[in-house]
Amino acid sequence: MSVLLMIGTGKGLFLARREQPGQAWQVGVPHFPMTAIYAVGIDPRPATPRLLAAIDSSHFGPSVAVSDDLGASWREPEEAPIAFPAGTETSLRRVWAFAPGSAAGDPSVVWAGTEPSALFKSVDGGVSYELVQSLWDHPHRPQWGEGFGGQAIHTITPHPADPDRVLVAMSTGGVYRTTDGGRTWSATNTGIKAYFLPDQFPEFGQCVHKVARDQANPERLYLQNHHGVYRSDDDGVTWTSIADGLPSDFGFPVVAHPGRGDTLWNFPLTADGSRFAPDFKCQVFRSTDAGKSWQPQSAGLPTEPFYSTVLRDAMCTDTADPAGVYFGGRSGEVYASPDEGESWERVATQLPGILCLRAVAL
Amino acid sequence: MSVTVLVPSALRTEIAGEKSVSVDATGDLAAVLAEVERQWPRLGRRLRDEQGQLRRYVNVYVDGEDCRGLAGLATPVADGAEIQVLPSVAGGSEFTAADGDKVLAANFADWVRDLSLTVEEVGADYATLRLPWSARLAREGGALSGQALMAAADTATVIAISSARGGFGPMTTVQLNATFQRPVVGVDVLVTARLTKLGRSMAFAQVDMVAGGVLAAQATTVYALL
Repeated sequence: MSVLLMIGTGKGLFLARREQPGQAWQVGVPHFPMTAIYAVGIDPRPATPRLLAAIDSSHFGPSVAVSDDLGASWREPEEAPIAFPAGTETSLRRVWAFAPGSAAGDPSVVWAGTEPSALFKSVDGGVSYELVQSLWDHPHRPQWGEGFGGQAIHTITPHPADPDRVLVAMSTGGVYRTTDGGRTWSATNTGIKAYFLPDQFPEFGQCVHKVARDQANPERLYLQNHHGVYRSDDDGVTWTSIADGLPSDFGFPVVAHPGRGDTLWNFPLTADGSRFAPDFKCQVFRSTDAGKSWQPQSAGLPTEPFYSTVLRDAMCTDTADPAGVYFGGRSGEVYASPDEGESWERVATQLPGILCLRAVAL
Repeated sequence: MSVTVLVPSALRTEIAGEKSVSVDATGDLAAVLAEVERQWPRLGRRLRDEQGQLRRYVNVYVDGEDCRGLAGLATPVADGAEIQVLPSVAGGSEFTAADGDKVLAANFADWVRDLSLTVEEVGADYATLRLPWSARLAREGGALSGQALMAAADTATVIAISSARGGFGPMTTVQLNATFQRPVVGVDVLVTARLTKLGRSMAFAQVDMVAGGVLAAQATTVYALL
């Protein structure tokens, strides 16, 4: 079975292919060279999965391109794919996230999250988008802040069985969800700590780093916070800590198994003020019991001291069974595990800094 | 009213590989860019954001003057004007120092190449070249000859103009004035040519020549762009 891995970097999009487990990875030349690729997406619903890439030129601004031939060719509409309407007096700075719509809904829906924090919706498969005005008009919006990376909606997780339910996360601001197809939005951060605020458990304002939805039990979500790892069992309304079994509760990514419940991975860093892997050891942590316990996985990963950072979208799974797991560092190395983290191999080295990864089994 | 818009190489795919487009627009720069966007929407949105603001690292020159030093998008544009779009160096110049070295290798007389000039740095309106010390370039008394400095200043101007225009084009020196302020002995000279005006047919530059951290000589140059 072949796997396609999209690698978004600070200087372009790289596509890596591996035809069979055990075979070598083939990494191509960069698409969109000299642009930063902060978000990539793979929509598995078309017969040939559609690839999405957020292109960010420091000179010529942000845009979105799509490919329907697995990256052989790309197209970009004439008009800006994502643009703030005139009344907002706001300009798009960067696209941070793509998410195909609910599997139970309109197959042409694709969501995008942006900086500044806003949600956009496409009904043409991700080619062009419109602002979700209801979230933009949320009374909390003037109080949403920004973390070091900028103020953005970086996570969108539609409910796979109910297209009316969508959860988004932003830094800072926290988790918001709709249960009525996007007409209204509520902050749902109960239990998530904001240690950097005087009120450490506010209604909103948390610096959530990433949220992943359990694919077998979609009411269950996992959340990596700016200190804190949490689980929700009520579709993101309330949250409880699952950090006890980890060496640290800081980090950026969290990913869920593509099919099997209660299985997830993250990449802990020591602390906000020490953004290094604990003991400078390159290892991911996996839980197979929804976060009650965690096991380090490092077979095949470098044994030298590891000083790199794994960003929020620089870790993913593919759609295979057993699942492939992938992560990349700001130092430009990408690692893959074909067996759910039991063993690892290096996909590429000396790439530009890795910003985001997405993978699909073909 | 017709104006010419010169498009940098990075954006020429949006206009079928052409180097420039002609548009009919009257009034100010905003009107010209709006007409560009109407005809070539993808080119237009790479120059201005969705609220109509010029992108931060896109520079637009109206008849050789940076619009940000004039009235910005409200800068009046006369019939026949030339609008030049250039990416700022802040986001990574498309003309690199390595490109400058290629221009040096391909476009100068043998004896100028024998100076062993190298391009240290280029930007949207400047170039810095290194003139390595060589006893062969010294005059009687041991100091670097003024002739070598003048050749370096002249050459640095060509690289600065090439950088500003995104590539080399035919040009010729019209005038070069030099002042020699301190002797240079035994050290390399950094020669920085900074364009004070880049128009359609003329370019003007000031050149500072620094040796061992102090100013050794200055020049002003005028070029005709052919």
